[in-house]
Amino acid sequence: MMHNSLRLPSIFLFLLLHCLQLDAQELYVYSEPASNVPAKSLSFKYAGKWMSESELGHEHTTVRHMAESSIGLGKFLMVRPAISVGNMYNRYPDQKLRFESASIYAKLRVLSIDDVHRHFRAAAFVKGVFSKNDLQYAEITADGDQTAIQGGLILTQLLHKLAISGTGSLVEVMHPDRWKDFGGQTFYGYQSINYSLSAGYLLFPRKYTSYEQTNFNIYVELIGSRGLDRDYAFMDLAPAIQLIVNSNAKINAGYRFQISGGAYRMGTSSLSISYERSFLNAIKRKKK
Amino acid sequence: MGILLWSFTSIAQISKASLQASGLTCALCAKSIYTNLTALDFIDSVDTDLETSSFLIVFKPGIKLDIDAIRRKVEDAGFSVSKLLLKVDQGGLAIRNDQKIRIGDNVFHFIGVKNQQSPASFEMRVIDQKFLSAKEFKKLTAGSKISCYQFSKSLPCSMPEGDGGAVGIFHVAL
Repeated sequence: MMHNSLRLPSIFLFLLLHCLQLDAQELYVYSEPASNVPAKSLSFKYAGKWMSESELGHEHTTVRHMAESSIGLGKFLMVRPAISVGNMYNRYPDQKLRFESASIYAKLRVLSIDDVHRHFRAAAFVKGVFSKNDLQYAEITADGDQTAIQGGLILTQLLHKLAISGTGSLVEVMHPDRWKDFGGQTFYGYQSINYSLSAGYLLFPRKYTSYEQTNFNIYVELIGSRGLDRDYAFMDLAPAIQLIVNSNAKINAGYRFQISGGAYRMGTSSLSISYERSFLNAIKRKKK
Repeated sequence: MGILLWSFTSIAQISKASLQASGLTCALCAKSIYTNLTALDFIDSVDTDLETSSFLIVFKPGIKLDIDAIRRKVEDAGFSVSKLLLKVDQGGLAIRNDQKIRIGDNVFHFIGVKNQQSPASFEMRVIDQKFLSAKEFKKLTAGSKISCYQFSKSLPCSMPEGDGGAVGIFHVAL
């Protein structure tokens, strides 16, 4: 596990050195940048996640469908309500889609150092997740797997068109079992540190000429989690691609897989596909 | 007095502006600035140069020019103004260093300029803090003793006598 994780910084260093002269973006597929959506803008996103799960000796594919809306409340603040349906937590062979979770996310940009074609920004965020799922796995997320609260910090550096971003957060599972007395230690932990390190860059167009040009971005993200009250730790690597069409719609596809450590998880790899449409200046107010 | 001056504001002496935004590279980001700018009632058209994140703005004649509103629109999109050049079509203005003159709807305080008569058409750069990158602001204000410029409010630091009808006061360089 140790020597395996040593490999990772060098992957990112390679990517950083390799891309410095090229173009990149920070509209990551798996994590959030420190920048917010524009004030008074509205966006809607569908995201699907597919995962292969082995249960009672049966290998089958489970799915989670998520719908979310990002709202730019001001130039520093955005909120994002979301809901999900899925069959990830069903008992095999039940594959019916059921309501799974509802969440609300808020992000406040706290620092911006802008320059032409570059910026360094910091943001703080909180997320509350209500989930109907029972505790089934040791892995702790704020993606709807458990009822949880999350708070964290994001730092993003845009260098011409390369963007590097790091996120660190604390997740507290708020499932009622946490406060029940099971007569000794339970299997599940309730606290984790979740983090990510993301890099992305714009492959096309090489030269911007209009808003209608389709942009093609590629991303590599390192996503990890470490239990605080129960011992587990893993790191995933998630390469992803993104098309931005007409300067208002994003199509994302990514594959996430475990590269080091381990935990009792539903699966160690998953496929994500999402579509997001933005509406600028959608929220009208009489007074500015 | 105010009413009397009000009537002068319909003469549009500032016809165009060139704005460079900072903190972005993507077309999606530029689009949000473009959309915000075109929503302003005194802006006639906006042309974008995506490579340099620059916007060429043409103002509508006869409508009050609110320079701070332009900046706010860029900031609402999530970015900053790093350069704003205003094109003035008025010759014969007596430009003096550290003096304020009313041009169109706004008062401009000229900083670091040679005393001169303006040519028929010229460009001036707004040098208040929020119209410059942090780096440039530091460089430009290093030797300045003008306190309201140091603290950079594009709000009146001191409006000249009788210019109550002006939209704002801005520090500019040539």
